[in-house]
Amino acid sequence: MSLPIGIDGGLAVTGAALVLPPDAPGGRAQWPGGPPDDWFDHRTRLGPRGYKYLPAAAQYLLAAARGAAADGGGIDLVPEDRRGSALALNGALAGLFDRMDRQVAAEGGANALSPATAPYFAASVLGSRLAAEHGLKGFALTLAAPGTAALEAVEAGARALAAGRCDALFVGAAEHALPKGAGEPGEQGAAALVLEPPAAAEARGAAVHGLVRARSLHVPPRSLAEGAGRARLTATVTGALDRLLAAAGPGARAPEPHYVLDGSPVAALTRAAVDGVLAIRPAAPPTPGALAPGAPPGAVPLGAGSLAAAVGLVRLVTGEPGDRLLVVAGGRGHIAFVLLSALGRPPVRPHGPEREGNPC
Amino acid sequence: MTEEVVVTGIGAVTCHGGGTDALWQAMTAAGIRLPDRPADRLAEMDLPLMNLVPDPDLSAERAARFAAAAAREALADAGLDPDTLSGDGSARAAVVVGSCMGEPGTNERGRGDGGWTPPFRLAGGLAEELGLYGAAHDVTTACSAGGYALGMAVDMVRSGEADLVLAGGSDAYSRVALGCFNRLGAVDPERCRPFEQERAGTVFAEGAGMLVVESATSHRARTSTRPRTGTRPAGARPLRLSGVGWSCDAGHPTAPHADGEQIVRAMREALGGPGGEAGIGCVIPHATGTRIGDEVESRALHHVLGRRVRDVPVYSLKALLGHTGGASAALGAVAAALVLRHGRVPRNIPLDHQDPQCPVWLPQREPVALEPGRRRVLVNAYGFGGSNSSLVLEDAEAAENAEDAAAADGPAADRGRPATRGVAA
Repeated sequence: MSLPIGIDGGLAVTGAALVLPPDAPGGRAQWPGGPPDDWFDHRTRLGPRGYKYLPAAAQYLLAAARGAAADGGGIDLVPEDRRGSALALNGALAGLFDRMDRQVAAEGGANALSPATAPYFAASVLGSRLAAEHGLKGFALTLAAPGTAALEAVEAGARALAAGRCDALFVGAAEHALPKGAGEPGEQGAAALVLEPPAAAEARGAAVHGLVRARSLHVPPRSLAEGAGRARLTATVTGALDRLLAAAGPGARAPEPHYVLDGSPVAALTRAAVDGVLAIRPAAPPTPGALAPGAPPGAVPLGAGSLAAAVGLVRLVTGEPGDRLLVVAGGRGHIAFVLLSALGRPPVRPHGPEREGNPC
Repeated sequence: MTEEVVVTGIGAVTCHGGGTDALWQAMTAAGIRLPDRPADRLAEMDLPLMNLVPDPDLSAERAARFAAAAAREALADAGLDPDTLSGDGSARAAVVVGSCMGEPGTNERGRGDGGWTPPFRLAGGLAEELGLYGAAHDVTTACSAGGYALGMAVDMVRSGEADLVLAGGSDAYSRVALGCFNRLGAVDPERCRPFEQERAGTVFAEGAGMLVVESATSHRARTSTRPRTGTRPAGARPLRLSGVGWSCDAGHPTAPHADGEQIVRAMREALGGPGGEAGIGCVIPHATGTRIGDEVESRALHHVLGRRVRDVPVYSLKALLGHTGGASAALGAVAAALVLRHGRVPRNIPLDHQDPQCPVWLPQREPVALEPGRRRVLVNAYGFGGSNSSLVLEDAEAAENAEDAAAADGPAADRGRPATRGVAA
């Protein structure tokens, strides 16, 4: 089967993995106040030496990336200069920053800081060990945004790949608990994907989870106070989604929608606009998924970081085959979509989502 | 992916004040500026030094304010009215802002309101302020973030996803960042002194640089239907953002790889392949004043420029501004645009003794006129985590027209002379 090439044709997902805390007692999806600190043991997940001083989010990211590579991602099959990375974060290092600030301001000054963690004031250093471990010399891009950063990383990374900046791409998202007093616990864990041009994946006989196409936009939340602003959001979302669906081919059926939203007007209006676009297309047959289609806004809550959308994406691409649309929107105005197109054959997942939540 | 990408507007905020005029005046004056001491009683560190934007309120949203001011100047320079921009074309207008720290003040002890606010909200804030509905990306690839932001803008325009991208970088004072740099022993107690033999690290600085990056097709369409209303000097043409290269050292979290292989690759990618270096008339290096970084970049320039390294002037913007972190590549691009518009490379802030391990040509006595055919400027930016970027801004029309060689700018007094003391000219 000949597969499309380039950003409009979508990129093949050949590896995916999650590293998440185990479910809270009683089967709850979230731990009140955040999970315990000991759910991840870097010695058993990464190795006995050399990882102790990495921030927790960097440890999670490394573990997820190893999982994605083991899942079949063939990033090691292209030259190092042609391997890119696009990472996402939001509050991943906020706890570390808070501790460092306390040390500088009140506990001995800057001389009390650990030289091992001092470089992480630049948040993108989160990915430096990952880049070293996987020889990611093509480029190292890091995007930050509340909620949508992981899908933006897919979008920007795919765009860079289509522009010829690399031949294979790691996309990752990682988060760690927010500092005490933040008002919310934040997210913990990491997600990783390996993306390749479909033709490259096909040429090496890789198992492909599906093709992904991502788009993002931003609407000014203040504008939604007026009818014209709300109409503008609807028109913008509709236009962006129409273009994304058109890229999947003429006559494409409406994908099964999955939503990661907060309780904001941006989220509610985005959902309504998406539903409106999908309603006029013939529906794809429903398929089981990890996220609940049709669930009311807030059922899959947008977290404080970049992780909720990344987890949703990995769960969709490693779930049963089907055409799905992941929609992420939040009160700060960021909106993103990923369209997942199935290839018509079941993915092979030798190291798939069963890794999720593995308590070591 | 073949759409030509042009830069039609520039804006800047630096320690020398707001606006590109202030920046150009500082560049041409070449005066030494000693670092400030931020009025932050909680900054417990040996060297609380930084070049601050002249704006006394450390607690407010400085990075956002700087970015907004630079963006508005860039839009005006491009002849764009924000009210017009937020009209029908707003869904085709995107924002990409690079920043190392985002907006750190609200989360640092005693400067914010408690709680925690996502620091990377500069792009969304600008899109909100200007009423834009395209993508809004915050890029945080450390001190190369502005270069990555401009690269993303190029990719967005070339792919047809956006007609116009407001792209650049902004960074402001962060107690955490300055404390960490103190802990790493990387702060020069005197000032930012790239290529100086006695350099002892860098000095951070605040600032923002924003550029209007457009598709040439879109620019032609909008300017052919109505007169230009911006503040750009008469005769100034759109500049071509002809290439952006990215690479990653993929090794040490803070140090560049000694062989410079990846920064050479990024430069060559930006130059556009073999022969691309021939038209380079100026380099604005990353060189921050760290010992290894300046040496590695100097060697890399020799690799890329070959024998031409002896007569390609290097302009050290960081000696003038300090190290503006995630904004440095964006401000480098703004400075490159000014060099191209004015047709000359200003003299550098004089060095006491140039490091012989950094044998590049840093004109210090007179400006150097850009020659026809050499109206391309290479800008480099590197960051912790191994993130490297290079870009090339060029005045293609001027390169084709010898008569446009900056008539009133005086002779190229430094050309052909031994570069400086200690330089293997």
